[in-house]
Amino acid sequence: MTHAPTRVSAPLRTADAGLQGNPALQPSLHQRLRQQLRWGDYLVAGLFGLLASASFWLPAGGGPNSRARSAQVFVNTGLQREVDLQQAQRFTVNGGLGEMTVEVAAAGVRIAVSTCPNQFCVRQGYVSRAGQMLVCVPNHVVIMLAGERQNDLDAVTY
Amino acid sequence: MPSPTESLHRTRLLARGALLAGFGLVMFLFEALLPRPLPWAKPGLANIATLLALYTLGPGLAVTVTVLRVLLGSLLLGTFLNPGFWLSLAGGLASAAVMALAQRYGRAMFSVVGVSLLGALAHVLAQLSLAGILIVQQIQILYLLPLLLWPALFAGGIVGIASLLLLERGVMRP
Repeated sequence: MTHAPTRVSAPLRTADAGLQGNPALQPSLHQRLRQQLRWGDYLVAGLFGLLASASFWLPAGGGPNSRARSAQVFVNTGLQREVDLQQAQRFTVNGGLGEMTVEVAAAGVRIAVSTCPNQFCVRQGYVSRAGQMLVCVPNHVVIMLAGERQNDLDAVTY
Repeated sequence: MPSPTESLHRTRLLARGALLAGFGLVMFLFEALLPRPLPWAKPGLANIATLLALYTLGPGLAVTVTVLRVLLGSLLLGTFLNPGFWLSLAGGLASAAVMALAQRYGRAMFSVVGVSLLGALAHVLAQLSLAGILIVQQIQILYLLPLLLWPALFAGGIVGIASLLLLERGVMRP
């Protein structure tokens, strides 16, 4: 029994058979590909390209699973109010130093105005994910976003 | 007791499988030395060995050539049993399996280029799923899909064309 190798398709003999001496007679890469490629090759390449393009839009939304639905506002460790984060609103909280304005918007919740000296809490901007916090130490105000803190990885390497 | 021609045939298969495993290993190590503009993507030239094995030696030896290359390559690079090793093994096995099926049942449809592209796709999807299950455990890993699929399309095409030209030239013809 002799082993007969499987062929890609009908092999081009010109490359092997004595035309090596004359490069002008050898088929170009383009011609050889046109002769060898089948319709399924173009189909697979096309679908692959389509999938690669479509995957840009595939996972829309940045992790809606970890978005908090509500937040609790604490002043001097005492729960002062519960806020629904689905609903845009603005309200004031009376802290140790004075009034503070909290804003709820589509981007999350933030401290818009505070009477504290360093304004760290204002500069923190919006937070939206479960387990995150807004803290104003001078004002003794803590705003906690309800829910279990998700495993938000900063980086993965391998 | 196998007949003399049969045992000659088996010896020939063994020798050629070993040659292709060695060729794949060299390509794998060569690739590790190449600078990579995209650190997560590489051309996958070692897959040429798998494709040649698939078309000239059959699916069983193609899988063997792939597994040998992954094992020996990781031993030489010092990544044996790393997380990256498992990803590499999963990618290699998935692509070898898909390419074997595509070659077996899609003979009228695809040349090596189509088979190589399907292998590249299987490689990406297997690696990404395994990384998603074992390491990242978050659905957001799908954000990486376009970054992986685009290079894979080009790499799979180039590897397929290289294999086509080699097969056309009669590499490994008896």
